[in-house]
Amino acid sequence: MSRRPFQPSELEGTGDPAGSADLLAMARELERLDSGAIRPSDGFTDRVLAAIGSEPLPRPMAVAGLAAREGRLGAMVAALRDTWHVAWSGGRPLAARAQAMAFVLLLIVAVGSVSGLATVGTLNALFPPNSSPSLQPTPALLTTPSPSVEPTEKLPATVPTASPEPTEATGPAATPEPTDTPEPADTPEPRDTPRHTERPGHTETPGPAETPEPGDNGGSGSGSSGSDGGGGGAEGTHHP
Amino acid sequence: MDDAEARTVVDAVLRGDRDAFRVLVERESTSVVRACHRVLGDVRDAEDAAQESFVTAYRSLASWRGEGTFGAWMARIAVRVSLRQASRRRPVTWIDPISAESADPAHARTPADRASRSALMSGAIDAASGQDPASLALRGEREVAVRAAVAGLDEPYREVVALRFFGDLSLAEIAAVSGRPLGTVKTHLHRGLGRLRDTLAAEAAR
Repeated sequence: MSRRPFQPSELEGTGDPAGSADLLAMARELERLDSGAIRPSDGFTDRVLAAIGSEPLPRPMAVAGLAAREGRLGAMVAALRDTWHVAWSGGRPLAARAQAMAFVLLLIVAVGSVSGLATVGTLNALFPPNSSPSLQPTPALLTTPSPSVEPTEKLPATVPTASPEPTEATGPAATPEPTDTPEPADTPEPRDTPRHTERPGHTETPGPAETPEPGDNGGSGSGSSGSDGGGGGAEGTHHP
Repeated sequence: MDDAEARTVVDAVLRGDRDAFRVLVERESTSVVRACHRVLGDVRDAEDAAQESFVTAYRSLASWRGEGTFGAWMARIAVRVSLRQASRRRPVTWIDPISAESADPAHARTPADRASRSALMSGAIDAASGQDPASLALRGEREVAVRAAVAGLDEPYREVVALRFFGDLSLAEIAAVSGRPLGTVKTHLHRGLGRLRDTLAAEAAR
């Protein structure tokens, strides 16, 4: 029989009393399934403990923390291994698995950041002297944008106070570099070549040589062969 | 050992002392094996289920926050594990010599035979009083049918009925360990028993 016999009062107030007799009979039949003489066999406890011997600890995160505080490195590593096992194997409550997963992720982030810092530190230790001057300008460049961005955002709000600041900040940093581009504008030199092409124009200026022609034409006679023909006829008319 | 001591032992296990779990196993093993046997009806299966229940409890030990007693928490795990194992079982086909004879027209079962078998299957006759092999076999068949009917109940009726009659918990303990109000647990028990009665009546009528 059951250790706790079923009482009819356990069915009171839940439904029609007419059907309670049937339900009570059903309850009695369920009670008859009990076999009170059943006991665990010898060695049952040892078998259970052997079965849990291969199981990870029920709350390995706490054990890992405790081991870390006490400085027991082996216990801490074992607890971390248990945490990994709890996080990624089934058969455990979701809360326990989520806790273990969060702990594992936190551990991965911590290990990753520490190893990243160690890598950067090693690189700095390996290449300290030569690379340091070249690296110095970069922080200067990094600092200049930050003030330039802030004032531009303030521009719509406070025009007079903020606008001078960005011009001063950006002026020295950005304008000197564009001035270098005009220097290669040695293109004026090619302009000299077109000037040489204009010189032929100066060769036409011998036009002033035409001005002396009127005075020199009587003496020369040979001014032009064409005029010689016409001129000859005219000369014949002047003589008579 | 009261529950304050159980809490102390559980805390020791959670701190990494596996051997402290032995105290809890020795304390609860008898009630856990009995609960498993009530569900499964076989001693070896019950011990296997009880061992699995303790392993499950060990894995979930951090989730026991003392809403109910440790024994009630263990009984709930044991009943769940056993019901899951029972529902995985293949339905056993019992060889009924009377039915085998009835397959032959020359050995057709008489109406009197059918009436006595139906009465025994419906529980109207106290099968425990019969000691002859036929009565014992029929009683065993009835117990299998009742266990299968409990395992086939829908939740939450199955859990409440199983915890009350197999886990041997009071309604207040069931309410505490399942987090349901006492009135709800009573209603679930009432409806669960009603469904069991209907299922077994339909089984006996076949």
